[in-house]
Amino acid sequence: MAVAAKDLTKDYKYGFNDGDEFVFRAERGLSPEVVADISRRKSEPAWMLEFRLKALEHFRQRPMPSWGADLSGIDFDDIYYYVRPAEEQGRTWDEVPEGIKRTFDRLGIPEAERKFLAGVSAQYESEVVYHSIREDLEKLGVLFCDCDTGLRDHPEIFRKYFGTVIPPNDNKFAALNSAVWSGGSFVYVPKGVRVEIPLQAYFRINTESMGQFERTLIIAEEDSFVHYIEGCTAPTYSKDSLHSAVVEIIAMPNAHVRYTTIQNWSNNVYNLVTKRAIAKEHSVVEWIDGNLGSKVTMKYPSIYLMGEGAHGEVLSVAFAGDGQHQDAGAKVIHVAPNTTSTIVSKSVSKGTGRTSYRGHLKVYPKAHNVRSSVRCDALLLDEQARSDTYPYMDVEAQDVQIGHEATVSKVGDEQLFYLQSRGISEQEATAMIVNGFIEPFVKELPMEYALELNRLISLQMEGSVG
Amino acid sequence: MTETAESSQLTREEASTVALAGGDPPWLAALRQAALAAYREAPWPSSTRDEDWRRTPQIDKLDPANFTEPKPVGDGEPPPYLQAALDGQLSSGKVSAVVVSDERGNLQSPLRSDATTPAPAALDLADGLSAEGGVWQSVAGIVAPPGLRKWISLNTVRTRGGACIHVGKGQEPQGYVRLLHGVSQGSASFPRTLIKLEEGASLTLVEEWLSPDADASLLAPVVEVELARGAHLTHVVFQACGDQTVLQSTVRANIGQEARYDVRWNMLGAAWQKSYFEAFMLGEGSDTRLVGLCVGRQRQHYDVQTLQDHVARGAVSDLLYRVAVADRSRSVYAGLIRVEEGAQKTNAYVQNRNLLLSPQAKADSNPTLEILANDVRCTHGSTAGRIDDNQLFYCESRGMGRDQARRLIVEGFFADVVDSFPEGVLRECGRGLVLESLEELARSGALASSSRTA
Repeated sequence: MAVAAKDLTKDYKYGFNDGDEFVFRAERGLSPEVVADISRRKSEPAWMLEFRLKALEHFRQRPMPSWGADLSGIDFDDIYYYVRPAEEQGRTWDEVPEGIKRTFDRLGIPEAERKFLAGVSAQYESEVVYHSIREDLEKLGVLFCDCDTGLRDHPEIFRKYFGTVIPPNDNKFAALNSAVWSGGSFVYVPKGVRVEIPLQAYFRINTESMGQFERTLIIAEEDSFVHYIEGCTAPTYSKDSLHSAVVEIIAMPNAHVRYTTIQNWSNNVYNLVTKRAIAKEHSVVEWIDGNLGSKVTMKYPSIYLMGEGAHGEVLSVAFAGDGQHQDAGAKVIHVAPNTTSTIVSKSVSKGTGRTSYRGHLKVYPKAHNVRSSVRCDALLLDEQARSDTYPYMDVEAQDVQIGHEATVSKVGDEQLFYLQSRGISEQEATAMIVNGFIEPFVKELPMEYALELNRLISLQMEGSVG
Repeated sequence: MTETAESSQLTREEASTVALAGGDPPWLAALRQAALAAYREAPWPSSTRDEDWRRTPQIDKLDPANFTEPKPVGDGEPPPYLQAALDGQLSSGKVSAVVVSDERGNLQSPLRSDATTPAPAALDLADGLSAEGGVWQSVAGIVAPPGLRKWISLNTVRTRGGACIHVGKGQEPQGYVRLLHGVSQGSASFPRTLIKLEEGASLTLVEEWLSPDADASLLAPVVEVELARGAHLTHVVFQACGDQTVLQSTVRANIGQEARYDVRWNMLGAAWQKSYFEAFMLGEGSDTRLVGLCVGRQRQHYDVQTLQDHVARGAVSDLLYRVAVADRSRSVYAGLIRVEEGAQKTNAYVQNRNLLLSPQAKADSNPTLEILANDVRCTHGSTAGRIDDNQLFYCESRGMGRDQARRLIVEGFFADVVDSFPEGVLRECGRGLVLESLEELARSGALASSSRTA
């Protein structure tokens, strides 16, 4: 290879930082005092403080996972668990502090684009700094706010569902999030309401050694529809940051929820996320999950098909460049009969990057007439790249059709030759093939995200072949 | 569980009482001591701690110390169940050598190579390991190192019967070698088989793992295979253990340059089993085909774990494993394709298909890939489902009864596997065993249980 692969951190255009500006920052490390302090500053009810402290206890007792990616680089005592960037949340863009506004402008969420979205939320460090929702939706009873506001202003709905899909003792990082959560989105779509335009949230870590622990709760009542999109970035520091979110979705009968994530953290973020949805009768839940950034990602969006006729879909793409490990996957649990699911995973490893697909498909004994298909394709671009596939399948019912297929290969010589014989350079041809490889994913994205993703992939591919 | 682990520990004295007829050569005694140390060091496998055992909790309650170990008898007579197998269908083929063992060690081998030339050097374990020349020191405990797993350590410590089969450079013995390993009467048996094929040699080997019904017993064979450049081993395994037997088997093979390793397994017996088939593609251009089938009924539990480890470049490995589970039986399959750094131009495939014949039957399938090279083609596929209604309808519309139709479809499901057995007696025997087991399923009504919709 004539040209060495470029240092990817140089290409990471979101790697700037805007200096540490905050109005409050909790001391480093984790203790009941820090947790209590977060809760007090948020003026939370007593039950939430109790919830947090219990979760902290559980986090301390639970061992680190012995499987998956290498997490030995995380020093839990060297992390800021709560950083408050501004006093008040902005309702209009003008109210957002200048520095933060500049950041989001540089991230490319211009005012014009925001107009086309039904609602926008922007989280900076631990708190949501900007938030808006279209008036007509508000009138229909759609709630879209940060989770802290959800707890404060809509306690009856919030408490009913919070922590019911992912209890604090689910896993070590869900426990951590439950103890120190802050920000995130709270979405409530009333019965019969269809939110035709996506709601969008943007997450940004700015402080070095910062941990972001947003908490998202989406409730879609009967016959409703909502599409929620989130994007994530962080500056490139020498010290590692931690992002550990919890996302809970409840799709009531006949509801349809689509959740799209484009994760583009910088290459020093540990991204350890628990995402789970409960799908009731004839509802549809879709996770569209793109993982490009981070140092290590461990994320397995899951769907519990609890109601008859429910359908789950996970479509994911992972791209691991030098030194990155994307340990991503999907989990679908068929509890009810006549449920169906589809999992499609595409992963690309470049340089010394490593992608792992880790899946779990379970069919309970009473879930008859279940259909599920799992497809994992991996593309390896360089000799040192690595790809793993671990798809667990537990089938306890007889009346099922389960299929799983996985392939791992490199970019086809014939495809390359074909393109090159038409005058396209090897690098461009490879990028085209990679873009074609992830096409099933890209076509599910809103236009601006699809363009951005293609641009990011091209950027990552630069200098990859010589 | 701690108690189980404690009581299954062997004392040094106990270990030293296990030796081959005529005594262990010094290198083997040393290997046994090392294995004993490794055995003591490792905790007993646990379904909650060990990924390998997660779906086979039977291991938690198993204690090898609960099985008796009778005094060795050099060259005893085979008991009736072994004699019946010896005289069975497989004796009608062109058999070049026979080695028989049970819990007491190697038994009289009634049939030695007849007029076939050149004959493979098939010896019982004691004769083989004591022989001059040190052929086996590079195989025993090297292909399957003690300490790798509890069962390999235990086999190394306690083996007193088995076989050593050596085929010299370029030799191609006619017919096949038969190895029969049995266990009975509440005993545990740990047969060890060592196979070494020199450059360009080829051999067909048939192993039978056997035990009588209604006898609680433990059979834990370890097979070590070493194939030199261009060698070709066809290795057929028939597992026809009794319904109270626990089987713990390990087959490991080091495959040299352009060598070919063909494994076929047909496993229909035992109460529960854990079987490892592990192939290491150490030589460029080697070729491995692992093809097998299991039929589960009642509460049988088949746990099969395979490894295709591509160390050298340009090797091919293919695995095809089909399982039908009836009644409350369960299949657990885990298969790893691993491509090591630098093993470019690898072509590897795993296919596991599971047919669920009853609503209470279960099949877990977990094919995995770990790929550390990029210029590869690695694929796996896995399916689970019940008998296809369209196929049933097709058969029934042609006048077949439902039971007959279902039996035919299951038979067809196994056809690819059965047809891959070496032509002749071995294939016929494999087919016969499958048909027999389907016959039994049909008799017990296990095939008749149809879908909920029917």
